[in-house]
Amino acid sequence: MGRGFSQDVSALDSSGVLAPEARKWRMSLLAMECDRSQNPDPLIPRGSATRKSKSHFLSVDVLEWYHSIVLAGKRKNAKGSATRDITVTCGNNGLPPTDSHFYGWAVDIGQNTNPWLTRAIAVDCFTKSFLRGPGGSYAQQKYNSSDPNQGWHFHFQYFPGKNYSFGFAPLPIEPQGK
Amino acid sequence: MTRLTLFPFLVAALLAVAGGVRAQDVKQKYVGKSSCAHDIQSDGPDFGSLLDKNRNTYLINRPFLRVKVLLIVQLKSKNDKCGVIKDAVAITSIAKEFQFSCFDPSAPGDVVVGTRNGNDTRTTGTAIEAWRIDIVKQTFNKITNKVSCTSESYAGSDDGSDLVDVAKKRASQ
Repeated sequence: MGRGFSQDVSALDSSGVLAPEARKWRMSLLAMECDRSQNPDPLIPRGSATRKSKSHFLSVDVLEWYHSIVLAGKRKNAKGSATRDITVTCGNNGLPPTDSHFYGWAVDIGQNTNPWLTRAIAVDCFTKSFLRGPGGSYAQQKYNSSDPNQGWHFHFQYFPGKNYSFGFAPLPIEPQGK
Repeated sequence: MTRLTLFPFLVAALLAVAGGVRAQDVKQKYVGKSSCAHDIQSDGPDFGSLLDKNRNTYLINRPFLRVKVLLIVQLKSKNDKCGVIKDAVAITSIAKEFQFSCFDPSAPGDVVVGTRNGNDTRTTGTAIEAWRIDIVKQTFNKITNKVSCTSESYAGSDDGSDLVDVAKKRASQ
């Protein structure tokens, strides 16, 4: 596993919209290698500043969707001086064609890697930036492994899920392997 | 002493009556309205699943600050965003969450919904309360049978199935 991509929120204009000139820059954003046989958001060992792995391009369309999550990071970060990065811990790479991630329609954002991203922030972002209602987008909070102590991630997908499900799935946190 | 003994029962009876009134209030407030009516919207996101594709009904969980409402909504077509609310139930405990994947062993082919504590880390647990859904009448019917609910992931692509299909499949296994 390796270091994910980081999106510097300074690319956003005052209204929070990604500036047109940032398009090329956004294309260079990278996602972590993602493999369902591995933990999508492993705990970062103490003393380890970065992870090493392959990097892959992430769909620009997908980036539009979690734009408000970046904003949330910016808002949280307004109290401090440094900018806050967001790391997508699973993009559209390393997964089979049967997975919505494969087509760039879904991303996972892990809480171990993005410790500031609470469920409340994720729900708020989903509400503001994703399609709502029947036929809309789907999101859930899911454990990284069968051991809840290994943390959890948020899964966001643009299209409805199974049973044409839409919206942010209620608690409890979805177990891994379901 | 007698008064002290009776007090918990009186409180329980009052709470039960209050709960019943609340349930009636919920039905009066929601049933027959459009799911998009301005006065019944929540700041948070709905969560919904296709209940019955033949009748184009959806189960929609709408969380408010102090109450969570579960709706049966019938859309005119699959492309609609709004529909008519056919029935509604509510829970007022912040700790509890509606669950769409519940199982009544006495009627395994029925669509059953229930509630569980949101902080429950188990995959499957006993429902705190449960309702059987009458697909034809499009109503919730509270049941007291022992029902188990499973945390289900709906991530992935829609395969055209609905909750009726899921219940039938579960019953056949």
